[in-house]
Amino acid sequence: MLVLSRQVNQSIMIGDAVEITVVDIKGDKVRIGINAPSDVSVHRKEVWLAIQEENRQAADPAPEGLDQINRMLEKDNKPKD
Amino acid sequence: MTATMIETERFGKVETPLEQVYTFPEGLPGFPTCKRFALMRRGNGPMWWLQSCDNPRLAFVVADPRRFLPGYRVMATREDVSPIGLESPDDSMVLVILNVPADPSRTTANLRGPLVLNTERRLARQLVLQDDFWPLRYSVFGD
Repeated sequence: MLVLSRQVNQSIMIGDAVEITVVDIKGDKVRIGINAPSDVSVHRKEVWLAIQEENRQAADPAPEGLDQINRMLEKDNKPKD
Repeated sequence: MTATMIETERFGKVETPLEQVYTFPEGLPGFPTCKRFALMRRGNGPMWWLQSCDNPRLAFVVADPRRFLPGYRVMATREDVSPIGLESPDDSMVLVILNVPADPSRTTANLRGPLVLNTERRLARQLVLQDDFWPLRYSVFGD
């Protein structure tokens, strides 16, 4: 991994389109600003990993599950209709 | 109406109208190479299958979140929706992926990563909401 030292308000360019700026440092917390083109998605890594894992778990459920849920939801909705 | 034949492991070959086929330009997190999915309704309930057109084995159960949580709203930024060319909310549809365990009464909905569909251009994207207000695992039938 490339490691660079930066001070507050200093930046790093990744390619010619992504700019990472250290906005603020307080104790062990660093605030980072990111300028990136709209087709580059930026996420907190732990949230991104959680969504990935949730997708993997949700993939390929048994078909019977869907029928049961459909029935349960329709029942749930009836009093409100 | 033009249709396409999609091979699925669960339902065999399914003839699907092209207007139900969506392209996810980035794939889905965890499945980056699966970019085309078909929305398939089985039966009359509020659920759909989101069936991969590239991988017959890959499918998700998805639903309109307002069927079980009328107050659900997605605050999407311009950056969130520009990759799917969405300019007006009128052309959009929001669905969420359900995680259906062996006991379906414990089904959860991923409200943190909603699917936003551009129904006009048939492009779609799973958002990863920055705000942690909506949970990753919302219990659809209560606890």
